[in-house]
Amino acid sequence: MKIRNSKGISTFVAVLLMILLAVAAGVVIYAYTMGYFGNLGGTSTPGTISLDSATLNGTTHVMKAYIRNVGRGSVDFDNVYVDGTLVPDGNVTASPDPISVGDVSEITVTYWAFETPNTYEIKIVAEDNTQLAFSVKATS
Amino acid sequence: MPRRRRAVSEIIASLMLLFIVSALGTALYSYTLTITQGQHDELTSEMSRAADRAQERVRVIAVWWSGTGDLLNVTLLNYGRSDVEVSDVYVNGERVSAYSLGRNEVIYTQDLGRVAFTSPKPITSGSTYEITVVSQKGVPSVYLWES
Repeated sequence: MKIRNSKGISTFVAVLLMILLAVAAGVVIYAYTMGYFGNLGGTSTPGTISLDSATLNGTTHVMKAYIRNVGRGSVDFDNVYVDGTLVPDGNVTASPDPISVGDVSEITVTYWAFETPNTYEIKIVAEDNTQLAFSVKATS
Repeated sequence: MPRRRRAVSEIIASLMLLFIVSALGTALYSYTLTITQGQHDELTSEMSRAADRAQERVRVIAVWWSGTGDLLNVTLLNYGRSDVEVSDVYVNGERVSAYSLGRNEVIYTQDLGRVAFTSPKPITSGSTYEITVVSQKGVPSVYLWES
């Protein structure tokens, strides 16, 4: 009886293949995980801004807020939301913008929906995803 | 005659694999450490700043007005655990731009301080004003004052 001699890959090559597979799987898992953790490995981290004072005039439909940069880097304002609705860029002014560390910026938002005596939730978002949300009540 | 193929020995193969795994592990560890260390430093720094802000306690205890004009003299008490530097004052949401004294001066803990300024809003007798004093670290203290 003739014994069939089947040839296979060596142990060494097999282990190399296993390493290759493990590394490939690791890369896939890493890419998948980074999708959840977002900018974890990025160089830019959000700054910190705080509200000094805010007023809203329901008659003129103008909100004025003073925002202070209490973080460690400059903050460049991007968007303003009123009750979750994006305010068009033309209705928002910020001075100065960007705002340096320790400085205060005056943000003015003109929005037709501002009415006395309602309270509105304002959210300010910077380009580096620094966010500040606060509520302000409209007065006449 | 069967052909004899030469290959690396098991010891060499193990050493090569060990080297590959160690190199990959070191690179991965270094990369991960760089990322997490940066995040950790940022988080620690932010927590430190938040703790500093949380320890600030400033209260307006008196507002002096002569009865005419718009000059106000505000007395503050620092009853917190850290020194405070008054950065800005707002009257009814309007930022004060003209200070006589007290701005950017340190009020030590358990001490009184004074800030004098010209109100951006005209002061009239019998009216109520919201005076907001904000420290350099961004901690506001709001006081309702009736003239």
